[in-house]
Amino acid sequence: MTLLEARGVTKRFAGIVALDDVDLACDEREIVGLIGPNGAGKTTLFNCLTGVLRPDAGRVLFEGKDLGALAVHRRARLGIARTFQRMELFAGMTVRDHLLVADRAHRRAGGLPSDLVLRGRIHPSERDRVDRVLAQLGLLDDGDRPVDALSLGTGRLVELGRALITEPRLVFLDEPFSGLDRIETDEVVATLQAAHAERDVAIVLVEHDVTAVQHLCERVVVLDYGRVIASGPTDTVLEDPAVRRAYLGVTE
Amino acid sequence: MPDVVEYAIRGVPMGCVFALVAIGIVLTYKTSGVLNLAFGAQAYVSAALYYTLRDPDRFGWPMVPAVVVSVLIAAPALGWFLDRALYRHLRTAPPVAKLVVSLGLLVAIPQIVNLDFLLGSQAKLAPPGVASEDPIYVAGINTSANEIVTVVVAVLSVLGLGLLFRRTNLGLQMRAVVESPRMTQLAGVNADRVGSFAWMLSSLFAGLAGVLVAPLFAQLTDLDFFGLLIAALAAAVFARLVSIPMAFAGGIALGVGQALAAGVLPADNVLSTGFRSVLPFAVLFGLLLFWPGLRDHAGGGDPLAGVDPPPPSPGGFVRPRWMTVLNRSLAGAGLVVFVVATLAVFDEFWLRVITQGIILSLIFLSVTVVVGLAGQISLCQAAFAAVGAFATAQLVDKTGMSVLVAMVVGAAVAAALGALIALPALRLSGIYLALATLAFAVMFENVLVPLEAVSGPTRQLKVPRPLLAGIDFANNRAFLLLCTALLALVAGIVLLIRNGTTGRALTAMRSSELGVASLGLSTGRLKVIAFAVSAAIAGFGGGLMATFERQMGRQVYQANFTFFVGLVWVVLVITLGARTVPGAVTGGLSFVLFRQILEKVLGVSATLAGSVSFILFGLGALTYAKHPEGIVEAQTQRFVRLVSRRRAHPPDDAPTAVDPVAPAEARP
Amino acid sequence: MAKRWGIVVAVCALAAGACGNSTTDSSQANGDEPVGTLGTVSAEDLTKNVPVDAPGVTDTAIKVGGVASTTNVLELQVDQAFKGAQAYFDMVNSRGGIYGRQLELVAERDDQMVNNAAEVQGLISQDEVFAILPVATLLFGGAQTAADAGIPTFGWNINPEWGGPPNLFNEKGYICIDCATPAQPWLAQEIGATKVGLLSYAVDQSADCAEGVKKSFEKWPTAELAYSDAVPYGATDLSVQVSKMREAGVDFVTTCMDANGSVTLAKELKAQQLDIPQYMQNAYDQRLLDEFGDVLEGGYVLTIPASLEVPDPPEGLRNFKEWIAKVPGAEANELSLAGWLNADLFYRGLVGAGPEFSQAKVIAAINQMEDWNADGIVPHVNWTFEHDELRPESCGVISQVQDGAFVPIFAEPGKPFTCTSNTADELVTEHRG
Repeated sequence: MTLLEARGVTKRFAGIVALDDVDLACDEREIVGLIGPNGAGKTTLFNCLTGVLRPDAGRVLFEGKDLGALAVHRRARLGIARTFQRMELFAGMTVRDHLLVADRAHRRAGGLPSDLVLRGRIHPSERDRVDRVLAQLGLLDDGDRPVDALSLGTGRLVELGRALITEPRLVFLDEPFSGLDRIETDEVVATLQAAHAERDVAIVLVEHDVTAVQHLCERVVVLDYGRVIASGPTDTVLEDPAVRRAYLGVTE
Repeated sequence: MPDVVEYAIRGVPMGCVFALVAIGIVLTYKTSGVLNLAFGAQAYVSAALYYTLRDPDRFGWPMVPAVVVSVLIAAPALGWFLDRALYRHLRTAPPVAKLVVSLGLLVAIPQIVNLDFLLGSQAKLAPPGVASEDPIYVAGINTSANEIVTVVVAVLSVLGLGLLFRRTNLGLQMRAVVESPRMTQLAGVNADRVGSFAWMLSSLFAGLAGVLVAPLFAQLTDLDFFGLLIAALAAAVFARLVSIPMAFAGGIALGVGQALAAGVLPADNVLSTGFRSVLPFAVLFGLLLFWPGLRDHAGGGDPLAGVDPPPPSPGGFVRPRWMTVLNRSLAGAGLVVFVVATLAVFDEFWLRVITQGIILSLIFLSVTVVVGLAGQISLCQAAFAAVGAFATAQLVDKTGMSVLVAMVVGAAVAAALGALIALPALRLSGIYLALATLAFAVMFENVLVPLEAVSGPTRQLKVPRPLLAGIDFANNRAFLLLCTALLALVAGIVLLIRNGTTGRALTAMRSSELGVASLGLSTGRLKVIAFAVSAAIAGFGGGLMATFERQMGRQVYQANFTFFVGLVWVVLVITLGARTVPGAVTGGLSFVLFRQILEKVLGVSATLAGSVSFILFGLGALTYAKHPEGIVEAQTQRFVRLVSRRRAHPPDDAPTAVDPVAPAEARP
Repeated sequence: MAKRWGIVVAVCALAAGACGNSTTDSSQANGDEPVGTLGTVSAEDLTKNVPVDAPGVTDTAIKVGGVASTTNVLELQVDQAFKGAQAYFDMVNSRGGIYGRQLELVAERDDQMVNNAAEVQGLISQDEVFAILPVATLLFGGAQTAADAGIPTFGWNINPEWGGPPNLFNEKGYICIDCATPAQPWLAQEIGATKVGLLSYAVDQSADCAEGVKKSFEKWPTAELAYSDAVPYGATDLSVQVSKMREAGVDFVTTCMDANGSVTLAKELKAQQLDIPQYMQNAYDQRLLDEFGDVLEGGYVLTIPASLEVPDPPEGLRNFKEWIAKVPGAEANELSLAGWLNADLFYRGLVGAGPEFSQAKVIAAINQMEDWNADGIVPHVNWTFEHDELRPESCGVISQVQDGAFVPIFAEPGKPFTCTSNTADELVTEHRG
C-alpha cells in the first residue's frame, strides 16, 4: 500500500530550479534509496517532503492525504520521522535524554503542570522503552554520555534512535553513513536492517555509499540536477548507463 | 510652497542622521557579522573626544586636527582593538554570542570613557559641529553648514560603500570573510587582516556619525546616542541589515515621516503625540513582525564551520557526588548564617539593600528561563517586571485585594503579555528576536508607562506589606526572610521546569529547532510557554518590589525598571550563568551589592563605585564566548577538575560536528 | 535615558509657584530672633546647653546629614546643596552655635539617582543624624522612610513627595504644577504679547505643566493660546513646530521642557528668524548662560527664592553671598541657595524648640511658623498649611536673560518679589519684599 507519494514536486530558488517535477513513491515497510550526485537536490526533496520547505508546485500525499502546507511538527505527529545530513543533535544532552525527549514528544506526555508535580522523574516504563532502542542500536554503554563527546558514527546512531523511538511509519534518513568507514558502515547497515525487520516502518534513504544502498534498498530513485533520471529496482537502476554517467562519471 | 512639502523637506536633515547611523549598523553587520549595539557607544567616544579637544577650557584645538584625531585616528584604532581583542575570536560564534558581547560593550564603553582620568564626566554642553551652525537659507527653509555636511556625507557614503562592495576586491573579501573565514583563507585571503580592516572601517564610520550628530544635542550624553541608535535600527532592519542604499532610504523615510507626522497630525492630541513619540520604535516592531526575508545571514551558513575545533566542550562534565554534597551543606550552612544575620546583625540600611538584591535575584530567574533554558535573547525583562509591579499596585488600590494575591494576579498579567511578545518570536530568532523585545521595551517605556491608567498618579500608589499567618511583614527583617523564601520557591519551580519535560524540550530547542520540530514538538508553543513563564516570574518579582518599596508609580519605575537597566540585567545574568540558579542569584546580589560594598566597605567614591560596577558587568559579558555556560559554572567546573584531577578519565577524543557553542547541562 | 532624568528635575522645579501669605504679620525676622515659637525663648536661652537625648546630639554638636544625586547623567551639580548648608552652619557656628553646640554636617551621601530610599535609611540608622538636611535628589523614594521615622527632613522641592508629611520641609513651600497660576499671564500682559505658543514633552510631568499653563491662560486670558504641541521626549528637531508657530502669529513662547529643550527651541527660533521671547521653566542656571547666553538672550525665567541678582539684596541673601564664598569649592547658585535655606529653616526650628529640643519639638516649632522668609530670601512661607495647600498668592522673581546674565526686570530695591493673587479673577499684582 502506498504510504508516501510525491507528485510533480518542483522547487525554485531565485532562478535555480532545484527540483523539477519530481515523483517519488514509497510503500509500507519498503526501503527506498534516493541517490544522485552532490547538488542533485536530494536534501531539498527531503526538506519539501518533511515540511521544512514549501514546494512551488506538486503535491505530497501521506497515507493518501495531501500534506499541503502542514508544518514540520505536524507532519512528525502523523508518523514521519527524519535524520539530518548535518546532524541536529541537542548539545549538552545525554543520549538517553535525546530518546527521552523524543519518546515523550511522541506520547504527548509531560507539560508544565506535570513537570511541577512529577519533579522530572523518569518513569520505569519510559526507561525501559529507551533502553530497548538503545540496546538495539548498541548504544546502551553510551547512554549517559553527552552527545558532544561522541564519535560521528555514534552520533548518527543517536539520531536514528531518536527517530525510531517515535514509532514512525516513515523515516527519512539523510546520508546516515556519511563520514563512517567501511566497518562502521557495515555495522550500521546491519543495525538498520534489524531495526527495520522488527518494525512496521518504511525508510527513504539518501546515500552515496553504493554498497550500502545495494544492501538496504529494494528500490532506488536517481536524481540529477533536480530531475528524476531513473527509478526502479536497485540492481537494474545501478546498471543503467545514464545513471552511471551522471553519478559515477563512467562512460562505459 | 505647500505645507506638506515644507514639512517633508524639514525632515531631511534628521533623516540623514538616521541614515548615517543605519548605514553604520548595516556596514558593521555586513563586514563582521555583528549587530553592533555598541555602535552608539563608539560614536559617543569620538564625539566626546572631539568635544574635549575643541573645548577651550581643555585643549582648544581647531576643527581639522580635532576631527583627524577623533574620527580618523581614535575611531579606527578602537575598532582595530575591539577586533583584535574580541571579535576575531568570535568569528565562528553564533550571532547571539556576538550580540551579547556588543551589549556588554554598550554598557562598559561609555563608563570607561567618562572616567576621570580619561575624558572625564563633566557636563558636555553645546557640542560643536564640524562646520558652522549659523543658519543658511535654502528656498526659504533654514539649514546650516553642519547640516549640509551631514547630508553630503550620508550621500557620499552610500555611493562610496556601494562602490566598495560591488566593484572592489576588498569589498568582496570583506563579505566573504563574514560568510566563511576558513573558505576565504583557503582562497588565499588573510581573513584576520580583512576582518580587522572591516572593523576599522565600520568604527571609522561610527566616529564620523558621532561627530556629525553631536551638535543636535544641547548636551552630549551617551544615552542620547543609544536612543538614536534604536530609532535608526528601524531603517537598518528595513534594509534587512545588508543593503546600504536601503538603509539610507529607510533613514530618510524615517526622518521625513517624523516631520510629516509632526506637521500633519493634530498637535496637542494625546493619541497623536503618543504616536509620534514611538514612531521609530513602532516602525521597528512592525517591520520585525511583517517584513519578509529577515534571516540571520551571518550565522550557521559556513560550510567549514566544523573545521575549527569546537570550543572547550562542556560536555562530559558531570557533577561528582562529593560536589553535590558539598554544595548542599554549604548552602544549608549559608542559609543558617543568613537567617541569623538577618534577624540580628544587618542594620536597616543593609537590610534594605540585601532585600533589593534578593528580589532582583528572583527577577533574574526569569532571565534564566527565557535565555538560559529556551535560548531566546529577551531584552524586555524589566518591562515584564514593571507590568507585574504596576498591576499589583493597581489591583491593591482599586480592589483592595491582599498583596500576595495581587502579586500572583500581576504575574499572570505579565505572563499574558509575555505570551503576546512571543508571537514575533515565532517567526524571528536570534538577533531579530532580541531587537523585537528591545523595541517593545522602549515602546512600553515611552507609551504605556506615562499613562496614568497604567502607572497611577504622580503621588504614586501605596502598596502595603503583606500580612500572612499573623506576621506583619512591615517589619523589614521578616520581609527579607519572606523574600528569601519566595526566591527559594521560584528557584525550585525553575528547577522543576528545567528537569522536567518542558525544560528538556527547551534545552533541545536551544540547540536545534529543526530537530525538535522533527519530533513533533511545536517550537512556537515552546517559545510562547518560555516567554509566558519568564514574564510571570519577572512580574511576580516586580510585584514583590512594589510591596517592598510600599509604593509604585513612575518614580519607582525610573529607579528600578528602565529599559536600559533591563539590558544590564541580561548582560549580567548571561555573564554569570544564564542556565543555573546560582547564576541568577549571584547576578541579582551583585547588581545591588557590588557597588555598595565598594563604596561603603572599601571607601570608594560613589561615582567611581557605580562606574566600576558597570564597567565590570559590561566587560564580564566578553567572557561569554569562551564560557557560554557562565562564569559561575566555569569556575565551579574548574574547581572540580582541579580537585578530582587524578580521578578523572580523559574524555572521548573525537567530538561530533555539532553546533560549537554548546551550553552545559549542569545541575545545581 | 539622559533627558528623562532632566525632565524629572526640570518641570517640578520652577513652575509658576505659590507664595507666602504676607497679609498678616509681615514683621521681618532678624537672624537672632525666633519666629513662631513653642513658648518663648530668649536670647540667653540660645546659649543654654542642657543634656538632650536625641539621635545625633552630643554635648558639643548637633549632627545632620544629607543626600544628593551627586552622580547623575546630566552632571548637574546638585551636591552644591551641601555647600550651602555648610555655609549657613559656618555662619551660625561663628556666632557660637546654638544651645552651646556646633552644627555639623556629617554625611553627604550620594544616591546615584536610584538608591534614594537606601541612602535615606542609611542616614537614619547608620549615620544616626538628628535631621536630614539637605535632600537634593532627582527622585525622592526615601520620603516614606523619612516620614515614618519622624525625622526633620529638609530639601530641594522638585519631587511630588515633599507635599504632605508634616516633617518634610522644602525650601520654597507648596507648588502646584497643574494649577492655574498667574505669573505667565501677567508676564504676557507686561510685555504686550497677544498670541502664546506652548511647547511641552509628551511625558507626564511635562504634560502636567502644560495643563497648568492652559488653565492659567484660561483663567486670566491676557493673551490667546494660539498654538500648543507636545513633542517626543528629547526631540532634537523642532523646525516643524517653530514653522507652525510663525504661521499662527505667536509672539511669546512658553515651554514645559528641560534646559536642553529650551536651548534647542531657542536655536531653532533664531535659525528661522522668529525673534520672540521664550519663558523657560528650568533655565535658571548661570552655567547654561555661559554656554548658550547668546541663544537664550531675551528669555524669561521665574525663581521663587529671590534670585541672586536682585538689586539691593535682602539681608539673608547678603549673608548667603558672604558665607558661601568662604566654603571651598562652593558656587553661589540655585542648589547652594537651597541648601542654605534648608539650614536656615532648621536653625529657626531649633530656636523655636527651645534648649530641651527634640526632633518632634523642632518639627512642631516649624509647623507653627506663619511667615518663614529666611531674612527676605523666600517670599513668606506659611508652614501651618504649606505642606499640601497652595497659598492665595503667587510670588516669585521674574528675570530676563540680558547680555549673558539674569536680570530681575521687575524687582525693585527692597521689593524683589512680584506677587499676584491666585484667586482674584483679575491680575492683582504687587511688588514686595
